[in-house]
Amino acid sequence: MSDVSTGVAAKAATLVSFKNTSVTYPNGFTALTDVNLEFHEGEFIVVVGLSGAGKSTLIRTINRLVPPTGGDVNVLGTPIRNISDANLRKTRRRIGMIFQNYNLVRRSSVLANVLTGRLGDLPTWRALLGLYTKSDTDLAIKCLTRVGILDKAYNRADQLSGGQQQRVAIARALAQQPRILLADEPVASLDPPTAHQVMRDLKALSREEGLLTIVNLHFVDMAMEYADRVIGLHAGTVVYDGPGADMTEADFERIYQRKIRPDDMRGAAEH
Amino acid sequence: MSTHPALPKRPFPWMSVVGTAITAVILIWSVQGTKFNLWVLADGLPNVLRFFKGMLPPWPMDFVTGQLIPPMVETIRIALAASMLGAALALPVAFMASSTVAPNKWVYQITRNLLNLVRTIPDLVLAALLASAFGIGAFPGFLALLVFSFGVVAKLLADTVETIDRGPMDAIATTGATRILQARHGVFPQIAPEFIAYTLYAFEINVRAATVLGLVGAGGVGVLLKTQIAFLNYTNVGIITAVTFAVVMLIDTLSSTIRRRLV
Ligand SMILES: Nc1ncnc2c1ncn2[C@@H]1O[C@H](COP(=O)(O)OP(=O)(O)O)[C@@H](O)[C@H]1O
Ligand SMILES: [Mg+2]
Repeated sequence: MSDVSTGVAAKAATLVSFKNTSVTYPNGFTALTDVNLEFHEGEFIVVVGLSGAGKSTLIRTINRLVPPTGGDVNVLGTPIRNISDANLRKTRRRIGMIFQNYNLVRRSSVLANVLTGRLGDLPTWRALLGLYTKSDTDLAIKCLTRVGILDKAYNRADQLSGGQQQRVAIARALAQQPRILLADEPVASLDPPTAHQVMRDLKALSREEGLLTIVNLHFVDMAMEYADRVIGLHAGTVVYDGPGADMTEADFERIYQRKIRPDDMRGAAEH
Repeated sequence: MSTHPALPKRPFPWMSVVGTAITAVILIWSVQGTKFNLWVLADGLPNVLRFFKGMLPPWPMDFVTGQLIPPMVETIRIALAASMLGAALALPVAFMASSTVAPNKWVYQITRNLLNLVRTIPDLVLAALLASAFGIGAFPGFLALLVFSFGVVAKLLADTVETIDRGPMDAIATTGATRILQARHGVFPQIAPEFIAYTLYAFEINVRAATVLGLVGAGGVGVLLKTQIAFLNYTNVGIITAVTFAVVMLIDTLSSTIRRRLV
């Protein structure tokens, strides 16, 4: 890999900025309070916090799966709080998303799943009929090659192992040619070696494509191992923002409201 | 070992006595309405016997190939066309009639109610109505079964769509695809086998219904049946019944075998 240092990435273009952002769900529960953050091109960011801290809400606000109810979020140059449906779709095309449970169409082939990443950029009639162009297929093949499962292209998605399915999901996101990659607990359903493999893949992609990558993780040691920058959330507010290596025990206790415990660790990578 | 405690005194079973009496009255009143008469039954018996004899081979093959096969084929074609086109029309409506995919509550409620309404129309009444509007023939029969197939497939499919995994739809939504594309690529692959199965199911019912529709002037083998009954030609009525029975059985068996493999 290249010798690009993380410091360079921090000076790169701002792709996402939270400005006094708050999220109150329709039931009245406030999940994010007055968040101010800036994320840049090429950054690999890991968000940590207790279950219920607001990690998913933070990530889902970026592609407006959850709309902000206070302040605003500027994503790829567009404020999204009052964005039109058409502009939202346009913005979402450049934001890939990876889920804990992969969210693949289980009965469809791996290739068909990856190709759905191209739908947003196709003319409607082509997209409806599933008439992908040659360049779409070429791109899908490139993405499958990139995550190392091209040989599974014609397998049904549900014939693959968990780690392979998550790689298909990554390939689907890559097929969007995104500038931002969001991953909500992407390794929570995987065994430790597979989890580390997927994290290494995500990290390498972020480096090579200059992708802003934002990953939610439950385990602190994994966050420290992979993140350029760790965001610590507690009860909907940002309580830590800095390199993982700089995190002190006090920072940790602010995030988790207690001393560090062995079960906060997933265990080091078996590289 | 131990003495049982005494049962309490059984109360008089008013409900059963009154219920039995009411049922008896309803039964007598309704049977009287059918003009049931043993003598008429006995009188008609020779005709019934001739009818059953007609079902047994050897059949007059010129009747079978000349007069029976063409309307039988017409019946199957009506049933096929109605189920396939009805199912095609049902697909988008089923999406709108399921809360998972419908763009909003209004679309959902309106299409749901519309589907319930469609399914309350008896197909025979509809066929008779259409035959008087569009003239006697295969076309009104086809239209009636089209409406019927549409209703059945749309309702079954809408209920299936309610139970699917929303995950793939959400994932496709985050790529910037419209809701129609989410349904097409995130939902349809999940329900495709059921969609084919419901279409086959509608086809099975249509074949049976299409044989009867001719009686109200809506084409197919029913027209022939009606004229043969009118001419008191019980042998031919027997043949028609036997062949129809065989065809319906065959299609049912084939179709349900395929359905079982699908889902
Ligand atoms: N759709 C929703 N409606 C109401 N409350 C919600 C909703 N989604 C999440 N919450 C609440 O918001 C808080 C933050 O949730 P979430 O962002 O999922 O946390 P995390 O991902 O860190 O576990 C939790 O208390 C959760 O119960
Ligand atoms: Mg979460």
